[in-house]
Amino acid sequence: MTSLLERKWTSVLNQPIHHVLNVVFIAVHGAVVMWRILKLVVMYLLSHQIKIPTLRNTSAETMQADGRELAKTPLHLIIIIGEKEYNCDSIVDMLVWSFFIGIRYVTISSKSIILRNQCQIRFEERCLNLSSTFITSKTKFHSDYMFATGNQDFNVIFTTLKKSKAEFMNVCKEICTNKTRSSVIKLDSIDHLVKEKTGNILEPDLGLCFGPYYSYYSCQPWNIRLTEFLHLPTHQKIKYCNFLASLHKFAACKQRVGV
Amino acid sequence: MALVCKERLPWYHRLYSSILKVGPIPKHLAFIMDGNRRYAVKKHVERIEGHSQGFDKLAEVLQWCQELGVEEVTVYAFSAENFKRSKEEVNSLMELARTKFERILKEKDKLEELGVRLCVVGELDMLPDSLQTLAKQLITTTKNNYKCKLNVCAAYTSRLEMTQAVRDIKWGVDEGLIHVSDISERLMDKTLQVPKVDLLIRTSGEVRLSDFLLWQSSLSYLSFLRHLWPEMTIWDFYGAILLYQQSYKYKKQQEEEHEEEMREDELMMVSDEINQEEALKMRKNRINNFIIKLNEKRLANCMNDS
Repeated sequence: MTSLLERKWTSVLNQPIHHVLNVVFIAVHGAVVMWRILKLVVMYLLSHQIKIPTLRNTSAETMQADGRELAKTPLHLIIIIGEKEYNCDSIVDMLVWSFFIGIRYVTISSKSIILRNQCQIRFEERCLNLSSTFITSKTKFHSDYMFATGNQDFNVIFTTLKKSKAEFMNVCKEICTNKTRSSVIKLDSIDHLVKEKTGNILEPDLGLCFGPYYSYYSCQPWNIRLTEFLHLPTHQKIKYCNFLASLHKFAACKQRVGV
Repeated sequence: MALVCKERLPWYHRLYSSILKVGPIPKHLAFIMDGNRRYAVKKHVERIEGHSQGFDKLAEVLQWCQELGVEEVTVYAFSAENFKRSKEEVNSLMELARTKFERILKEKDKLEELGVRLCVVGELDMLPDSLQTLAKQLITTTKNNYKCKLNVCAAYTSRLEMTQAVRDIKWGVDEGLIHVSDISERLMDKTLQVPKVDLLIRTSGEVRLSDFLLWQSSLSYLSFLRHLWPEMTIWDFYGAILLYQQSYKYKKQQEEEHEEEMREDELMMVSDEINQEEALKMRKNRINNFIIKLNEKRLANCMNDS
């Protein structure tokens, strides 16, 4: 009887405490949201103060000069689109900037399948408008890793996020169907098989993640061990200044590789 | 400093933890404890002192996690790549680890009281014999504790872990426990020793994963903090939890979509079967049975060697 009374009193006392905690919790989260909005507004105002060029005013020479100024340019950039919808124009913008800055490989990994031909046509139109010396044959757009040859100056690979882990599981199935004993399976043999399936292209050194939160959205778990990940909330109408700022952040990163 | 802190957190930290507990708390937290050596350089002390302070910070962080009700914590203590460091540093790190493991073993009663299960994940064969024995003793001593789990990744890389998982799956196929058609992302999730991560925190400002839990953190919220690991404060930790809570809705959405995709793939695997539901049920039973046998095999290996 006493313990029942005690329990009843405890539950009565806990209710107002729980309500107060709820209110404080909402207030704390509200304060964080306000602070983040304020930060975005300040950054937006500052960027307008410095007059960062937009794509219309950015010439091929400016972008090439920006590329030369970078202490380090990524060899392989992976653009991860964790958003449901993709914007072809924004993707083409990033491809054009990557090309003129001097990035050699770009992988676009997205939730939905992106129309390669549509992107390729728009990319070539923009590059020809920006530079009369642009040669179409020196760039190659691949709709899958299997066809990536890597001989051109600029390679773009389109793949989906769904395929990333599935590709590794296909390697696992291949190993399990042959007669090798399990104790003999080594990391190098798996690495070799995974690289074959991803066109023997070098691992990405920079990943730009676009999505509602900071994540790499299930992208290529085997290949991203040393990839630097930077997050931007959306790729829709992305500005050149934000793209270049990400490349500068990457250039400042130092790899120690365990040492 | 012991792994299990005896003192309670100050009242204002406990109050803030209570506020945070109103929202979703990550069930599984992972930490890349980066910055011990840079901290030692900053404070003009020996490197080993930096690592020792790093261990003390780990004990503190575990207390914060316990206060919040985090069920599982995984820490990146020592990478297989770190063996490339100077022999002197590696030896002193191994000696530090041996001292700490011995200390933890002495606290086994407290660990049992708190229900803490300890696992050492990685290529234990790469560690010195004395450390291997201690690691295996810790695993077997705490195997029956079930309230919360601490995974210490030593001599670890994610690729090595995935390679071992492929070996385990191959063993399962060779033993007839599973079929090749059962091999799927879900099977890989269950075969890996460390489960999916909700929130991954890395200190020292670096924005890469350095071959840590690459498979398990695919949909995790990533939090890169600029402070060095021994300098990490409880407010950095609370900040990471807050941002995780703000993104929780989107993360859950991504996970549900991913689960739906996995289910569709599984249905496609059994699309030729007459009774698809029965085929799925049998597949699930085979996989569960394989995981039970695999865990028994892993535990038996530990007990034989310790």
